Amino acid sequence: MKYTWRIHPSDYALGENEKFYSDMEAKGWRLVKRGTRRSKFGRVEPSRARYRVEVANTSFLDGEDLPEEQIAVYEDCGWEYVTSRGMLHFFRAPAGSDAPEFYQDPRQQAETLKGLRRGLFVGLLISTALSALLAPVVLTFSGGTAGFLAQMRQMWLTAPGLPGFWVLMILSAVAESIIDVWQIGRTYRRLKKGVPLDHEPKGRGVIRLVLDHGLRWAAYLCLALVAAQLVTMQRGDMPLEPDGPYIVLSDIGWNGERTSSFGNTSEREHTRTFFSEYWDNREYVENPGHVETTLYQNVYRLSPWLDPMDWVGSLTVNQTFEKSLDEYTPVEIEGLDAAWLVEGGMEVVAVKGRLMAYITYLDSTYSTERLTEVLKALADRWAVYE
Amino acid sequence: MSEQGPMTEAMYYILLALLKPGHGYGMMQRIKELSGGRLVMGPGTLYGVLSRMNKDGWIVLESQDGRRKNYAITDLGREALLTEYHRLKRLVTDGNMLEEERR
Repeated sequence: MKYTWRIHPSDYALGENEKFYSDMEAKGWRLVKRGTRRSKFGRVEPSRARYRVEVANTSFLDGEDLPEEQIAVYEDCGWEYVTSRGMLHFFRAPAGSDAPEFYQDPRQQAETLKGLRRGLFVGLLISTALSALLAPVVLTFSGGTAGFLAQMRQMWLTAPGLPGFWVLMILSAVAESIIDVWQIGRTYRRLKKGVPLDHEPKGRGVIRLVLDHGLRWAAYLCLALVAAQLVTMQRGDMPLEPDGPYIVLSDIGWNGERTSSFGNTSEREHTRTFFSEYWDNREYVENPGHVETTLYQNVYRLSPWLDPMDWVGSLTVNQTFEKSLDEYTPVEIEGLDAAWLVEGGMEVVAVKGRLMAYITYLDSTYSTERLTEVLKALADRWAVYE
Repeated sequence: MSEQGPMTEAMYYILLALLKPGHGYGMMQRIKELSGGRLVMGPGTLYGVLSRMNKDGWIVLESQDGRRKNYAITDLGREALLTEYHRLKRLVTDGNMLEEERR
């Protein structure tokens, strides 16, 4: 048999699901199995079959399954039990069948939704409470709200797919939970008032479609972007001569042998996103009589529509020592639009045009002059990239 | 049973049908007969009411044949049915004046 899969309406849009499966059978695709997001159909002759969804009544039942006896009664009446998914059970009546509707009184059908409605609402409350409890923990581990936001901003530049993925997945999960509760609540209230379930509802609105599927697919697209970025990322040994807007230790007079630190070797990583081109470098050079000289560089060339002065503040927030640019000393360096250094420290920050950099330089002297040299070397290097 | 509220039509006919023990589909057929074809009870309604009445002790599982369960009315169920019957009868009696008006 030939099979196909189609995305089905959300679980608790009962009438929409019934219409969806009836329409599919009219096109020659009969429901075989319902998955999480998609349903499997087998090829058949097109016919006007009716589909109905029965919700397991958790007010009576222990689990999500319908009792065999209940299924037997439905089948005796001309309904064919097709498949189930969670608490939803799908029945089909062939074209021309006089199988009676499940319920004559909508209020009786409303009773079957009571347990589900309560369960969904409690689930939403629990997940909201858990999120509220977890949020401060996540923020604490991310260096507070400012640290978290700075991390997100940095990620937007270096791997925008990741925050995009998480934000969209969270939005999608929240939207789905709220829609589920709203949808089943609305159906319940209507049935309770005696309004029968609409088995032939009109199509879903664009907003519902976006909320049901759009957010999740956008999240998957972000994940694909992350994967594409990982595939295209260039990673390798730190070149002896820079091939980008960054410096090497030989630019400031360290011509010794390249060495390693705690198993790390001198490496250069280069990646491109919609928002920036990014170099993440580390270099270790032999320093006789001292621990090796070290240079860590995060260099960004932002896209034309981004101003580095709006972003430079986020570079320092998650660093080990000075976390705010306010703790840095602004310095005038010829060839740079703006520059900062930590006096007697290890860090410098620089901006020029679309370029910005956060650099940690360590040669165990903690010399401000050395840091100035680093900035000057960077200004010389960036002059080439004007 | 003095505090018993009015029954739904489905409950009334299911209890009537169960004066003779039967299973789900048989009951639906019998209800159709009893109501002169007026009432075609849906399987969802039937099963929901059976579950409720079984829980309340108005009916009892008499036997099981494969997936089919045969139910019978209990004394409590019979008493409830009678109470409802008398209530309905009283309603009809009270409404007799309508017939007299028409004459």
